[in-house]
Amino acid sequence: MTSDFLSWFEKRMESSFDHDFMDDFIHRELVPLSHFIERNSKWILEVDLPGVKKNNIDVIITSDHLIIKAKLEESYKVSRHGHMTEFEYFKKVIGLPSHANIKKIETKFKNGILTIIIPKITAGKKISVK
Amino acid sequence: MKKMQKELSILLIGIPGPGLIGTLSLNYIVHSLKMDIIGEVENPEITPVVFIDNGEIFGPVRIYKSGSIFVVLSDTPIDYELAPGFSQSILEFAEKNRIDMIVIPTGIHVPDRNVKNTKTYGLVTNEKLDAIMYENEIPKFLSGVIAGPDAIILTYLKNSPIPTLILFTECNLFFPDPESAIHTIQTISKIVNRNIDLTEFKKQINFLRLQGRHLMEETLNVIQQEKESTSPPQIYK
Repeated sequence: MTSDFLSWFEKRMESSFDHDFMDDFIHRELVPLSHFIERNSKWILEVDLPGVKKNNIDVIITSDHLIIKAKLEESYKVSRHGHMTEFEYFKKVIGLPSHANIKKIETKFKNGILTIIIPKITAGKKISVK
Repeated sequence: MKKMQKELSILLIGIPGPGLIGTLSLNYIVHSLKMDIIGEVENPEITPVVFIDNGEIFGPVRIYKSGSIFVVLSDTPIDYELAPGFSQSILEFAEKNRIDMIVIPTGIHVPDRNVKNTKTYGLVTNEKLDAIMYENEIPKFLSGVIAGPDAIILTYLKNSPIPTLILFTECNLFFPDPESAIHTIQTISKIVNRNIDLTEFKKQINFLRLQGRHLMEETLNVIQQEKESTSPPQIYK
């Protein structure tokens, strides 16, 4: 990761923001950016996982949570208060919406973005329209 | 006898926005062209953050120069309240330095975009710049919606006598998108007529995405301050 530009850019990015509010320095896990949108019959969750290969991603579904853990191909070093921390994983735990059909969740991974499609449970009681 | 053509004075403005396109592209241009820092945009309302480089203290919005090219680069998002003052400062600086053209690179959200066929569209505030768009094969941004603080800045620039070109590169709105920024850099390189070697940038795509996470998060918080107006713009060609 040694690059003149990268060090230059890092200085600007790190000076403005504190990693504490986002990353887990104790467990050395980066928290990835994610974006959640609702569509008619489903929710779509996108998770940004740069530097990760498809076969190094684990998606675990519990009754009410999604746990995403992914190993970085190359570790990511962050210097904080003069101490260097080496991150090797991304990890994020996301609460599932109620009425999520967890049996039919689908995932795909393209250009470093993990997309998780969560269908809604649409079964219900039919009512007549008057 | 060849007629001497005056080199245009160009001011490039990079503020955090969709995909961090402005931030990524102009940071790289400033670095590649070894531009000198010549000042700062001072505003007491801008996030009180400073960074130290080679023992010198700098604020979050800095001005760089190389020949007739100027760059204003902000490390912090410009929110709705800051946008009018920021725009005014930019215009005062542009007038004082006899800037011929302002260029603002930013991003436009395209869901499921084709990464290998990214496009950069242009929007001008003055028809004088149509020729620059044509010469550099930049398609026109014909119809759509621009929301957020960008819209406030654009309104100020539209009413100014200094012509402005806004470059919209297709990108992912929600995540840092250096791959799209490559296209922006190539377009700016043609406009300013400087060769910019992208080798170093291309090698560091993943790390740039990682490094930009916090700024992206902050930027989205600012863009989404007024939820009503954040529906991603559409292009109709």
